[in-house]
Amino acid sequence: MLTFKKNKKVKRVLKAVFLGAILLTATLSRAAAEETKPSPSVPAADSNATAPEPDSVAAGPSTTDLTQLSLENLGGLNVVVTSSAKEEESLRNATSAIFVITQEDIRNSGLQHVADLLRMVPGLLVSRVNANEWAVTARGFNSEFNNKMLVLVDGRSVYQATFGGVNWNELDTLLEDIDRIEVIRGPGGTLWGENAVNGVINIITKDSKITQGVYATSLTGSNGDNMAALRYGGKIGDDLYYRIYGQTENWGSFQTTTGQNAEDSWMAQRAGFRTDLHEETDSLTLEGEYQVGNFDDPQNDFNALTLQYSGNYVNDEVDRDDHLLAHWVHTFSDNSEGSLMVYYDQVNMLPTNNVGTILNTFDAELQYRFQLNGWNEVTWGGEFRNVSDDYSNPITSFYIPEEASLNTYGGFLNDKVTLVDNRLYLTGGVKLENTPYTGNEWEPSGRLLFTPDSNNSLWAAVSRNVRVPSRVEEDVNYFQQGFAAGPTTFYAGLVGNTNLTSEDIVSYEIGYRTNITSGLSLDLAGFYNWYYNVITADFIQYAPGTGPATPIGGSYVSEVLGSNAKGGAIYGTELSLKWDITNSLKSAFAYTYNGYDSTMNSVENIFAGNPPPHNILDGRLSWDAASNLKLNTSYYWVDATPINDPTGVNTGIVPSYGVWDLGFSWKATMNWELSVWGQDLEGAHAEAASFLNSSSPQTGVYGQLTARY
Amino acid sequence: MKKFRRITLALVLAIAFPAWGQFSEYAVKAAYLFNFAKFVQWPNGTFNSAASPIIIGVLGDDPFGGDLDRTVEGKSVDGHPIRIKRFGAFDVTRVSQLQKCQILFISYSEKDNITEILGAMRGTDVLTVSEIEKFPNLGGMILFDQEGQRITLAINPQAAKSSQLTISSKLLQVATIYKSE
Repeated sequence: MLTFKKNKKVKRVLKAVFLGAILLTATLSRAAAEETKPSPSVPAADSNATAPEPDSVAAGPSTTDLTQLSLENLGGLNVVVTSSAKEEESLRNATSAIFVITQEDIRNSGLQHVADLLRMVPGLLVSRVNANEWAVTARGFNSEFNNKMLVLVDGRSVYQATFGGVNWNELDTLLEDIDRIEVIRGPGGTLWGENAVNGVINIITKDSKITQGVYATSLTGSNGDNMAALRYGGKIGDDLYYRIYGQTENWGSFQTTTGQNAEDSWMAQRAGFRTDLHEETDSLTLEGEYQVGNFDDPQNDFNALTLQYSGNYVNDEVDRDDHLLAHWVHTFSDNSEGSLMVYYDQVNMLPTNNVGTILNTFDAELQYRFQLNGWNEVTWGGEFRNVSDDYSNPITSFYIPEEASLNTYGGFLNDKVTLVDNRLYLTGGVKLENTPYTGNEWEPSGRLLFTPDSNNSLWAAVSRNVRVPSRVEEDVNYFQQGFAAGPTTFYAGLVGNTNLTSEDIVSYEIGYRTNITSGLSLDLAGFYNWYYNVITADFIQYAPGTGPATPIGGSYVSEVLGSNAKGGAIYGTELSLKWDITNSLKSAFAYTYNGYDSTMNSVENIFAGNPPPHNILDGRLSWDAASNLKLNTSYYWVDATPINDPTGVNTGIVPSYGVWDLGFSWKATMNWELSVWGQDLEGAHAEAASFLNSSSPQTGVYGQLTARY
Repeated sequence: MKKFRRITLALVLAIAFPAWGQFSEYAVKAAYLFNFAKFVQWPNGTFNSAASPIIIGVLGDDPFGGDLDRTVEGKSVDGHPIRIKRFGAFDVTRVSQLQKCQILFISYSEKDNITEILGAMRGTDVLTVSEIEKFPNLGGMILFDQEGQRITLAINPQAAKSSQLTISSKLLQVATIYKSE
């Protein structure tokens, strides 16, 4: 979907590269690294302050005797659907490190952006780069490109092959209408294909059958945040359900390390629909959305001579994104099912000067699943994708060629074999794909699941996955005037490398899940990942006059070129614990440890990203204080992270930080709900100081009023 | 002014009786299970005596928490007290025990075994109830479905009939009826 942010990212890379190049060529000292001064951290508040006395817990929900109601009245009751039984079931037999964020988790978090929700997932590092950008990764390589995680919305890929990454600020939608978010850490390429190297995030919206009626919400916050959304769900005839929705959002700026307004506020408007038709053996989903986003990018004015961002020029970047998706599932018999999904997605970037660029994605996927001999469950499928772009119109030419139309196609085969009934399963599969830059790629995996009883399961997996080079890495062609020596002008350039191969990962994983008691469950995963051919940026210096010529005359004194230069290991463990302390007091806890070998410590951050922080913690507490009053709090803590400058030299650390949120929801009546939340109660802190244009979130309070009819 | 007072009253009522607002999904489903005991007639000979219990079995993971026990506690239908019996995951060797239930709730965790379970229940006088998708299509009797924030029922009367169960028209009226071709 939203590609064009990438242009901003491209600019940012360029700036980074240029900064690095200048640093080298002008032999300036590394004093510039001083510019990121850690903000003083506020001592951690006691997050247990809200923990209630277990004895004071109010007597759970309704004491009404429902059996006294007539059948008609019973059918008319509004229920709070938890569907946890279904979630747990899908988790237990998974042979990968999977975590599901449910609608209940979303409501209990008080969060408003999809990326922020991912903090509750063990293994995930979610860094707010600035008010309108996020960097989300699992298992290392944290960068604003996030080029090793695949993100899907109802099956539609929002991974931008052009720059390699995800624009999280374009993924907001009505959180109420999200059914669940499934997060799989580790390679998912055997099913999902290239770029699912470190994980797959599936955002799944609700069937419109269960979003009937009116939903309206309005939010106002202390940092200039405003959001309002409206949805209506209805029914046509017996089988056709629909919903239509609109949302407008406006989010205030973060602050700079010196406490100034970072001028990075943003806003977006969207309107969309979803229809679902359910027939005996077929179901058909059609959904679409139109969205316009406007993102302030304050530090765009980079001065090549002073190496400073003036920060007083605010570039309004306007992105428009439209998509339409159709998904048809046909049940052939109890044991076989086929599906066809087709989508089209267009992204336009409309910069302030009205010079636009366009990215189109067309994708078609076919899948078929059937039982064979009672002990094989076979799934196979095929996919075709065309991504075409047109950059012939931007202010400065970025790519050679300026227009491209790139096809990716392939197929996969997966077989889950029951070795011992209800006990032991072996899954083997492979995906074969033809990609535009690297030709044929194959991504195999083998997975073993052992379920000694219904409370314990143990799994192990070996898989290979690839990340294919992005269009930026292949085709970028950008240069900027550096300095003049006498009559000759010298340039620094960022040049694509058309000889790149794919990055490879071979991953070994194990996991264990257990229900210790009915209210206490534990999920443990461990991984050891070997990376090969990781693409990093090389800085090449030339003596003045000896470098390659630029297209407009003069020659390079420095050139930045990607190459498959790095490799190494990243390993770690991820733990998730869910404990229902009482019927009304529930807790969840996640802990992540990451380690890496020394070669991963010096990976340049432009393409590859930073090494992971060693420790990440997340804790959540949810208390039903009364049947209509809920208190929630959460705390997320990230260990100090090394910062590398654009040339890969370690220049310091992002200090550790905590994010503490606290809020309550009061259901005033059957239809009306009021929530008040305090967010980032620990105070302003930098989460991504190593990235350009980074700014710090600050403490805020918001109130939200919601009606459901 | 009248209108204002009505709104005030409604608000006061809503706050005073919050339980009137929303119910947990499984409290409602538990109430339905109790109603099934009332609105389904079992064939003669199902009960040994007039005081024999109506047994509601839960097969697989129990999603009710304590809701089901609370709902049926101390209740009886036509003199038959109601008992809850929990079975773990489906086990072929325990089919005879499942067949002694009057109502069998098949939990979502048994999704993969559903064909086998329904095969084992065929021809017995057990009312099968589940929340597994397409349950009536597979030969199950009552499906808990969801529409908006409401729990709805889909019933396959044919399946009930072939097990000699009579479902009251009152129950059929509030359900979607599945007809096999």
